[in-house]
Amino acid sequence: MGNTALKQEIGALPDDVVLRVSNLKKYFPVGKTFFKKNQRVVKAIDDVSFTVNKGEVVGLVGESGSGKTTIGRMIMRLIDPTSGSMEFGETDVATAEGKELMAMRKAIQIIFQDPYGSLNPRMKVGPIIREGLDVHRMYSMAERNERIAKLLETVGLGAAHVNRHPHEFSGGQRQRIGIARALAVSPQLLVADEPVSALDVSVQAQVLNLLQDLKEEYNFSMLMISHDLGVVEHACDKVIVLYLGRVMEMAPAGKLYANPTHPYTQSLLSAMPIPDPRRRDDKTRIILKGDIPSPISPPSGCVFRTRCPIATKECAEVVPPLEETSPGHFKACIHR
Amino acid sequence: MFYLANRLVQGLIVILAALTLAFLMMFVIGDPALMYVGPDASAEVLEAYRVSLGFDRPLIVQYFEFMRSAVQLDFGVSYRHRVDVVPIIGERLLRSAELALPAMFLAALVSIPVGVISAVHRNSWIDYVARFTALIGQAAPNFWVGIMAILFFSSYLGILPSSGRADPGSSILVQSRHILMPMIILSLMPMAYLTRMMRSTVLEVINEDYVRTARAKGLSETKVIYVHALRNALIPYITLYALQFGWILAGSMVIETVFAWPGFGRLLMDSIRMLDIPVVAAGLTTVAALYIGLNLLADMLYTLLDPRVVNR
Repeated sequence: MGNTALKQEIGALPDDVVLRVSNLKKYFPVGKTFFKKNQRVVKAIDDVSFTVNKGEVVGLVGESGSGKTTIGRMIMRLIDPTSGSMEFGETDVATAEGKELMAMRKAIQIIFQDPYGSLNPRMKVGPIIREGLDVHRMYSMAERNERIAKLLETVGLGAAHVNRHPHEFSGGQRQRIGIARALAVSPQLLVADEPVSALDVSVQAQVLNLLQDLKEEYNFSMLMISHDLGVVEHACDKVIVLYLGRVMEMAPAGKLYANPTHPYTQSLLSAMPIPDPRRRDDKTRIILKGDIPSPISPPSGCVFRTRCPIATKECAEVVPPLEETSPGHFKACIHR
Repeated sequence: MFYLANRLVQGLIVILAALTLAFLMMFVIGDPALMYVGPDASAEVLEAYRVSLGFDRPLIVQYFEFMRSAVQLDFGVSYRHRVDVVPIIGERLLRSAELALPAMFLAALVSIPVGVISAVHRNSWIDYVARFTALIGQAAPNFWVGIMAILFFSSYLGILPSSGRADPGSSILVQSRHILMPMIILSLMPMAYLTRMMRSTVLEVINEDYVRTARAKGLSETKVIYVHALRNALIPYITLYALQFGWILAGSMVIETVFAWPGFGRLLMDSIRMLDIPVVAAGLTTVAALYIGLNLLADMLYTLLDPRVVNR
């Protein structure tokens, strides 16, 4: 319904666009058992559209339950969308099969949040990185070993680690292994699902900088999922703010942080800690009332209205469309 | 290495405790000399035997005497069979193995694929059927299942022998016909338990991010499940599997009695009923030793299989 400004005609992707997500929806059935058919659905993702351009880092931010991870998993085709399309080159990720799906599996890679769960504890580092190369039959046998060694060097671990098991590494090191594994097959798009939130703050910066450097060297685009606005500001070119599975605001990072227009974004940004105590005074915090509502029965009209400081009667009646307020800056609010 | 030595010493202590228990049991149950000569013997004969068997000596002397011979694997003479206990136990253990080994093999053969399929197709009708069957398999008393099977396959259909072990000289076919029914029924309980364990351990690893990554890398679903998920799920499974041999020991007492199978379990049951104390003492020690050995094996397997468990 919304997103009219973004609705594109189906056709070939422009050259500079890596991924175009259009009207993506994911509804999960709830309360389904053997005896009882499902009657209700959770609208985890409801009508989300955006694009990722070549070389761009796009940040997906939102609270827990906003649907960030669900979008990431749909782009990886780990779960199937209910409707909508995700165009990647010539392929629609939502429906790809066979060879097309395999090609896509090579071109899109993922890094997970928990570096302790994302590496198979029974495999050594070498085979972990190697598996993707084997599956997609890239390089000769000897070249694969060379590439693994080089990747380990690149992520700052050293080639000597190939014969060690994941449990012998620290969290930051394990995340580096995860990055090496993702980059092994030279992906065009990297989905980073909370890549640093499980790490110590000092290590977070190292891993973020590493990703930044590798992006130049390996030439990929990135979709970074995070709940940390600081991380996103540091790393992303474009930011999409999600709330209850809907896009609230979308803008180039500079514009969004300098001039947030949606009340939800404003409250999120006002909650960001400021390191300099002298600057804290001239900031007013907008404190949201209550919790994020249940996605099983979301509020009518604007989903944010129950917690919005400026909500009016009208907000309950119309779903606010995502409108472009200035070039590249979109917001879904009828008031501002 | 220190770990292994530590465990061996622990095991030894448990075996000594089991031996002590076995010794005390002889005097708790009654007068061992009376049991040896039988209730109809005269007082003189009884006293003569008491002296000749050494039961007239102080208890502590008898205890150390018993322990000394026990560690030399000498448990004396069976009251019932009038021969050395240890060879009887050895022979009966072998016959039990004829049932227990194929039963455990069958349990693995069924539980691994069924558990995996049940987990992969969680909450599908396959899963419901597998889980329900496993629940019944674990809950139904095996002696009752055994009797029902005899009624159906032997009395009603008449296709399988109802009891006993085939003549050692008979053909493989005849022998396996005798093994078949008790073996399958013996395997039901571990099979049901292991299926449930397999399902839950696969479910646990199937939601790990490395399994998700494997899928995202483009691995086929079979490879994702059997290489990434199953290899990790098998770690707890294999240790539980080793421990199920202990359960088979208990199960064999019931099943061998129902099917009149001349194995270790039935020997123990009969000896308890007949108060054949030396055999019971030796049997009890054997059970303890087997269980300790299996536990140790399970722990060793764990360190071998899971790189995260550091070898100490």
